[in-house]
Amino acid sequence: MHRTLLISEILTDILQRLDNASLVKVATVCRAWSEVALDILYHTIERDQWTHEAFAQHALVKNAFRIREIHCGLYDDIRPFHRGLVQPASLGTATKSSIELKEEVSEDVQAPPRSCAFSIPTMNQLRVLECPSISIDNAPLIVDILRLNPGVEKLVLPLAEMVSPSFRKTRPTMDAFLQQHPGDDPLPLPPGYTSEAQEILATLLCLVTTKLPALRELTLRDWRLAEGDIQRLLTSPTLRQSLEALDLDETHDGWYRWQPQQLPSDKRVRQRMRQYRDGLVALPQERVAAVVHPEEIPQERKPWNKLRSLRINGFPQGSLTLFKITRWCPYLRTLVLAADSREASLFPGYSPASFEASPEVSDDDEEEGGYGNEDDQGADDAEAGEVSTATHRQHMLVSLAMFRNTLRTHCPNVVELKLEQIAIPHPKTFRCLLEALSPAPGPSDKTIGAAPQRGGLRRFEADGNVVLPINMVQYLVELAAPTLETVVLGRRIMFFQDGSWVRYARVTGPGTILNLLRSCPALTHVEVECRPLRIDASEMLGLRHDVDQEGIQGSHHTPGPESMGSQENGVQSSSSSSPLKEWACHDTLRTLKCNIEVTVPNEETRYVDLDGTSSLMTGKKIHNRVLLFLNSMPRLQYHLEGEVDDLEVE
Amino acid sequence: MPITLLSLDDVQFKVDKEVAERSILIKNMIEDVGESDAPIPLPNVSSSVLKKVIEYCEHHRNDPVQTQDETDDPRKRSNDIEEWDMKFMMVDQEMLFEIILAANYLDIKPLLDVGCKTVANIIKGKTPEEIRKVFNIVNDFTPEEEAQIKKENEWAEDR
Repeated sequence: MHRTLLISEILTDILQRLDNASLVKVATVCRAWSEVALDILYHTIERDQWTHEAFAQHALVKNAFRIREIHCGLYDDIRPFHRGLVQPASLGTATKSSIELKEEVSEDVQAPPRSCAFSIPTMNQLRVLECPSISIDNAPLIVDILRLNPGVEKLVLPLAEMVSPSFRKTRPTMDAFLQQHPGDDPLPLPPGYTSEAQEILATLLCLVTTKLPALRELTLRDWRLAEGDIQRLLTSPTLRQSLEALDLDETHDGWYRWQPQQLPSDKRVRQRMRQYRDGLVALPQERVAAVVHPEEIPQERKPWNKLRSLRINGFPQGSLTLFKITRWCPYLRTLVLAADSREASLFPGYSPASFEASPEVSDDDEEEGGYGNEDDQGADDAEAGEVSTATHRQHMLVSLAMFRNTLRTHCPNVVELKLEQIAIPHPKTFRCLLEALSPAPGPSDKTIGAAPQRGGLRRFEADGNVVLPINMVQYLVELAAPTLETVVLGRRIMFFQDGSWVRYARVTGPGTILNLLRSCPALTHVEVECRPLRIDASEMLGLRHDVDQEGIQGSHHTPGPESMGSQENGVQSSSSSSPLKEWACHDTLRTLKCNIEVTVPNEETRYVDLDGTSSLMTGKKIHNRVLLFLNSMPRLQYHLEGEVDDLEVE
Repeated sequence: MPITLLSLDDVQFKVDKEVAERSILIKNMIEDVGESDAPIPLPNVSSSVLKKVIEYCEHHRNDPVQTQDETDDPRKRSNDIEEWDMKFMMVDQEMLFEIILAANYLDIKPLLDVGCKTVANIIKGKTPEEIRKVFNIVNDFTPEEEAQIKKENEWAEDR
């Protein structure tokens, strides 16, 4: 054997590139290779591997100590399953057999994973436990795993619809279920269910807050955390000393839904919070005391100096949680805001499906302003949603105004903002959000510790069903230009203007990027993927039409509606320089990632080059120069779309 | 300014600084010692291997610098080798492993990656016996032990 293969680092590097079947073969080659191969094979257990008979019978007992990550398929979120039941058509066939199959799957989801339970005692090196979703019935297993693995560093525990064994017995047949619950309502829960859920949640939450000293990342979604639970999280000395990233939400289920005419005073908020706390899953003190020694239940709050990342789902409904937590995280750096689906649906027309559909816009659409087709149906929707829009705007504004003051006072170090599945369509609300993260004079004496004055937003990211105002870039430039380093606008973004959806907005055109680059001196990374950047090839190359010769040639090229010569977001570009070249020459820019759709003229046209020479150019020739030009800019990561791909290189 | 590299067998290679600095080891040496005309000794790399390494670095001189993997993902890909790299790695097994060793020593991560991918591709699809034969490995398992490992892990072969 070559000496290279005796170096474990190199051998690991090689074997990490093999699939599972090859790893098994390698494991039988020799003893030295076997250990390395099995370590890689068992490092991560994927969701569909738990159920394999051979895995449970032969493998797990012997190799459980190698496991570092578990991705639990058995705890699949059964809420989509229930939603699927009421939408059989969308799943393919609505036949009886398919429903029966799903019923079996449902039973499997709810059943404890017996195959793995016996091997738990040997599984004590777990670092990551990531469950897509756990049901109450499977929670005891999670409790056991956590008790035996105090070294867990990352814990992802979204709570599925709570389904207890007692409920399972009384569950109606699937046919009856379909008839009884035709809508997307939550699953009805039987009497007596809550106390059972309380016990198990109490155990889990107490374990999480007291027994996992190495926990660095914690995700608790859909836990319906009540006031007492949040208090327990905030006062946990264990979490305070270790946690770096927290992701949680409140699912209020109708609690705290503001109406425009009923904006709550503080007193009213407090009253509703008490009602909520009493009505939902507040953990009973006696149960907590049974799990955790009373002396371990802390009474004193101290700041979480290690927490750097906070993601709040259910914003702004969950804003009370946000306010509470941000007051105690002076060194928070990254803030992720996401609305829950119900909140997002307050905005008319908002649904994940609307982001999926991205029909190609025609030239006519572009000439009309690049906005989506406002057909009759769309107009009706807009009218029907008018009241709801007003509610949404007011709701957001109130929440964000409170949020702004809290964040300015208590979290001066937040420099990264990420938006996911959230509709902030109105300019005022978006501005309010940015103001919360912008340098501004404010009282600093109330800040915990000696946190410095806010430095300003460095990273702005939006992706995953986000609605933003059409002039969002202007606000970014106005409020964050000096400090902004990274801007990421993902694929699933839509823009809103004057009550209309904008499917293809100029807001993400070349001029916008130019505006950002000219205004933000510290910009290093720009990603714009929500639409292709449509650029005229001649403009890209800095070619000018030879006006003197135009009459002779008889061909006149009209720049596209989004060419750099057009006014766009207040930026008038120079016609003698290429926009891409200007991007590439930006002092600090390191990466520019975008989709480019280059418009190449079909006819022969006479152009004046940058060096002043006039020549007749064909589309093919221009295309070749475009390719050379793009390849000459190492900073640019581009994806070419459209007709230019169809042309051949000379 | 050209940099001079001195191989194990005292052969000198003059290369551009940006080419030499594809090696993090050399880059750090230059930064620590400062630029000078003195050759940089590379006592672990023979001239034939160093020549190949320089050829790789010359070809990839404009590539962005690859940083260390930030994720803890234990699985990597092996099917994304560029065409030029694939041809570059069409060498005998001895040279292939020497290039990997040199890339590891000189800290040229892209070259190490390509080398490891190439070896991984050699292993893929082969039986244990074929793997042993290709890499000249002695089987130190008893037939019972070998069968036991295969049985314990048959779940993985189904996936």
